[in-house]
Amino acid sequence: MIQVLLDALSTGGLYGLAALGIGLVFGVMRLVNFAHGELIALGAFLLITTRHWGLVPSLVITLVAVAALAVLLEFGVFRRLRGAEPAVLLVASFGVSVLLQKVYEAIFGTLPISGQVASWMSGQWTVAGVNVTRGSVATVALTIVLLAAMKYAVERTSLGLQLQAASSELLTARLLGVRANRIITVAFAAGGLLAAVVAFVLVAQRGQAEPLFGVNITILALVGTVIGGLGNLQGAALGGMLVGSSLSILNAVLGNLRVYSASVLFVMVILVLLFRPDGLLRSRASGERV
Amino acid sequence: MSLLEVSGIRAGYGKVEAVHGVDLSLEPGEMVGLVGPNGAGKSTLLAAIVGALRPTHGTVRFDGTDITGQRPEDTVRRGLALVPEGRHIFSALTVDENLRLGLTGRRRKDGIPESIAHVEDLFPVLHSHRHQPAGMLSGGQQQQLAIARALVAEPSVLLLDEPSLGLSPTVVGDVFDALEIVRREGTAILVVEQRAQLVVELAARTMVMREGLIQAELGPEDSDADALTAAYFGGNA
Repeated sequence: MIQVLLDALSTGGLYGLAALGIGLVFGVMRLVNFAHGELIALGAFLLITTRHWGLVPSLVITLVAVAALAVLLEFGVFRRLRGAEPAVLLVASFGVSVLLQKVYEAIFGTLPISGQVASWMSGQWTVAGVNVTRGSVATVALTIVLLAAMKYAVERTSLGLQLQAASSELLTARLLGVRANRIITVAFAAGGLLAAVVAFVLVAQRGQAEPLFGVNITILALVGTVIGGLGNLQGAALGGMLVGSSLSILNAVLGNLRVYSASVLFVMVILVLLFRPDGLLRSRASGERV
Repeated sequence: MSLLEVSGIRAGYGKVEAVHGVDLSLEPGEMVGLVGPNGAGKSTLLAAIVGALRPTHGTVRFDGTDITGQRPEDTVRRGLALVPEGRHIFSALTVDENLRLGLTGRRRKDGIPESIAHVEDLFPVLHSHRHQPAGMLSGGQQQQLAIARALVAEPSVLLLDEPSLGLSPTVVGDVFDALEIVRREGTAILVVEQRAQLVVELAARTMVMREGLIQAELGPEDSDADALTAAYFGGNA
């Protein structure tokens, strides 16, 4: 029972981080970045290929490289499409996503490559007679620390304030002096860092990486950002957590029928959107104008 | 040479041109009005001046420099601030956070507490509500916040788009009283207004814009209804 709750919390936290990464970029660009999954996949590949260099160097390289790829996508693709229709951005991000998958296939092959990363996370602890996996405890702790740090950065720093303003209304923020290109680059970089962290937790759990590594979690995290209310960072994180923990609980409750977990989850999502089309957290911010 | 010199500006959205060649100038400490029916191109002109929209023809000179087509985040740093129509305050952020965002476009990094204190003097309600979400403010208070947010950047030219929209007459009076103080301190003000009579009375001169062009220039002596109607609709006074 404790383990089920802990799994729900850790899966929820993980999806929350993924959704927050997607939400950051959506906020400032109104871009649903499908290539976020390929950022996560790059992280997974790097963590496995550099695993013998020691955990800290491997992590640092991964964080830097994934954030750099995110910024490169902004410079090389999305900056050139500023002001384009949302549909154009959407198709472009699909294109980038598939392109990166093919690049990974060319380099690493289509089959998964394996390797144990952070093996201490796969053991168990016995606390007061209850067994809990270290991985889920570590994930919950990591999520709490990261979400708290993000919350602080977004709400208490000047750059965070600018990010919030740009996410709410980019043009108004620019009229006040917020540099659009700079804040969008920051959002992509921060999204990349979060993708690298998500990759770390997933690779530690699964011990392998493959070109489609990030696709599933990205789709579900996207659902999370929509449920939370697009353009709302708190909502994105919360929506991702809700989706992740629901999935985890459904898997536990359904047992042998767990192949249907995703179906049940999406029925729940449809119900949420029927009653709250703008997402769960949308109402609070909508009291503006006459 | 004027502080702000707009000449031959043409601008629009997509293929639709809304401003067909407008000249306009503004001196320090001067309030100029811009009136005209809906769709006359007033907001498009303001957007083209601050760089929110790139003009297709013409130049914008500010303080002697050609700033045509510069980005809004750069023109505001030069001292050209726009308070957009509909206020666009960040309703989920607090009053104080909205004001701090206004500091982003400020050139001078000293004297910030004084600037904040100054706008809170102009609009005391902002001080008493500073930790509340801006979305909780009334329409008039939100307009005051939008103006204050632009003022903390210490602009030398303040452009306002329909500041009286949706406000009660008393509140409109308060807003224009504050603008008069700002003007006397040396800031040039260009104000687009639906309430033509009000702005014609208060501004040193008022341009009447129709169908993308400036059609007439009025002084405070033209504030009677007949002269206004004539200028608006193109009849003979």
